[in-house]
Amino acid sequence: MQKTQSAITQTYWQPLEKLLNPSTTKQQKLAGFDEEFVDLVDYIIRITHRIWEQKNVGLCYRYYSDICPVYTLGGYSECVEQVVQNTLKTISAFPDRSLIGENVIWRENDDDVYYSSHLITSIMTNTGQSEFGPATNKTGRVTTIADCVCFENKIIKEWLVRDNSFLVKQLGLDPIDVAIGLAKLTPHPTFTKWLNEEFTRVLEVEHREEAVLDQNNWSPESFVDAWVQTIFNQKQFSKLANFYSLAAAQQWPGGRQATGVAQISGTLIQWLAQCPDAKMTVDHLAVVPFDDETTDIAVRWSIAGHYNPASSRLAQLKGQEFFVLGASHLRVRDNKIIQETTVFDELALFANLIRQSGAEIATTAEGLTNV
Amino acid sequence: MFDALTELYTEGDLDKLRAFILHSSSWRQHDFTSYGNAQIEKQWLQSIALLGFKPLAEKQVVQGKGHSAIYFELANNDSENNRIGFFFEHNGEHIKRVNAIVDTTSLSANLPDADPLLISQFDHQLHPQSAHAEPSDLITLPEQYRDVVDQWWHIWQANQMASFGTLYDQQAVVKIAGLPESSGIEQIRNFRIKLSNQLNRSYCQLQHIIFDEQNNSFASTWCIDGDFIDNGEIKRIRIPLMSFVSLSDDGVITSERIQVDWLALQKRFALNASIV
Repeated sequence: MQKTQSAITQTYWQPLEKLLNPSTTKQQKLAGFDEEFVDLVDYIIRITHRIWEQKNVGLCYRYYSDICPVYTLGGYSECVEQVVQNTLKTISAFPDRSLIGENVIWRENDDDVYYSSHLITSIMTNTGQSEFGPATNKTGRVTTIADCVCFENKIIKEWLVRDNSFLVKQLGLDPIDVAIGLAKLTPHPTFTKWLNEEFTRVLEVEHREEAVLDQNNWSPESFVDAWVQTIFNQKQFSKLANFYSLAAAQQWPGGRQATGVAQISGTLIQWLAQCPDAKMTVDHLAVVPFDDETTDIAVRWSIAGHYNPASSRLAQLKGQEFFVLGASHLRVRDNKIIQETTVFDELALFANLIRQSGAEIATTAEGLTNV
Repeated sequence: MFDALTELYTEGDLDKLRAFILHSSSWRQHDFTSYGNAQIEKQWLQSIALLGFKPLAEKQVVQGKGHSAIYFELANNDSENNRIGFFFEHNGEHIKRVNAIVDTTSLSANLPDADPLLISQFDHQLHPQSAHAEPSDLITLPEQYRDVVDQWWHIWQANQMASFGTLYDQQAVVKIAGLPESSGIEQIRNFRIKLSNQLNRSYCQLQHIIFDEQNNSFASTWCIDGDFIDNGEIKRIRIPLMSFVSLSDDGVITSERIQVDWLALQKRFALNASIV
């Protein structure tokens, strides 16, 4: 049974000291979790702080199961050893990385399994070699959403999305250049299989079916279904005002910032034109009240279709299979979105397109595209 | 909270303001957003170096529900006062998000690199299929002021120049970033006309607005998107603005202060030419 949010840790107005030293009694059953945790949000916030900000990387052994599939658009890892190694490499490249927990939207199943969607803002300085290349010694900000399945004190499955194109722009790097480098990496066989299967699954969605948004029988679930079907699958942009408040704030990857219906329509139209046959599925949904008037919704979603390059540098990739794993946090008031944070990894998207095509694309340092 | 903001600049009182800041607070200034104590405090120190330790010359507070705003000026003996506007989200105990706009025109500042911004092209026309925010769409305005505030926005969103003559006191105090203080509508009307002519395919979007019933005043953050021809090159730009407006009891605008960070704008979009 889902507890009301008022009883569960609310991160938004909490000082860090209070988040790290909760004063309430246990609010959720949390079977098999350490007794110290009062609820799932507390668990997520404190283990994140301990692993990343206190650099106790080895705590991954305590808080991740031995077999823990982690899906990202840039790769796949399967076990806790890889989680430890990847964490260490990132901390080495960005040693002052802070993880500011902006929100945790959660769901509790009847079988003692919990689901969390953790929105994080990180500030970090790139002082070491990273997946993006040599150290830039610049500080950047990045938004991440980590969706985790948690059971008996451990994360047993994770989907991780990070706005890497926004980050590398702050590091002074060209996103396509970085993607060209990433495309040279050999992916895990499970990643390739997962990507192909997901692409096929999402393309099969029934996208012409009309979704009716009944304001008299409104629910977060029907709202998200209608949002996806109307805007993303059917591209009916004149209906944006049915879903967004007139001054809704929208953050999309790569520095796309929009306020209000006109700007939001621009973001969505320009982005979707890169994949004009895009089909979208909702893969997971979690809903919690934020306060008396607003509701927070976490949506994990996938988009599949075929690539229509916006950049002439990527013209060779036209028609390639296009797949995005994404996540959105929506804050809803009076049945409309007032704030949207959508995250996916645009660098990984470009890297996958380049790798699959086999095209040789020159970096900006190398000059124009080799054909 | 308001005193803590001004005393950062007048006295360098970091402790007082620090008490209101969360690990997850953010502070946007010069189009760059700092997150968390360490980054925010660095920005404070840079601001103090740029502006600090001058006496307060003027202050206007606009109290709203959940958001508040403050405009103040720091006295300069030998030139125009430094003007600063803050619009911030708070719960009375903590400040969550700050949007600060400094009139940097008279300053020679080494500003931080702006946050990356990707402006997507969109249909800027006010055609009937789209929905365009007006103040009364966003907040419940006092009945006697609703039309005035909506008509004020109509000046910016729909270029309704005639409203300068009907909404403003003829001696209204006007302070626009980059321009000297003036009296009456001429300067603000010229500013509006110049913006309209400098920017093609422009569109004004209201972001936040608060109305202070105690003081008959309102504050808003908003932005203009438009094509600016910069030495022959077309650049799509976005100008963030902040307005502080005071009304008389009978609903006439008696003062308006408009904050724009012109230097930050020039740096973000690598502009060579000046907009105003």
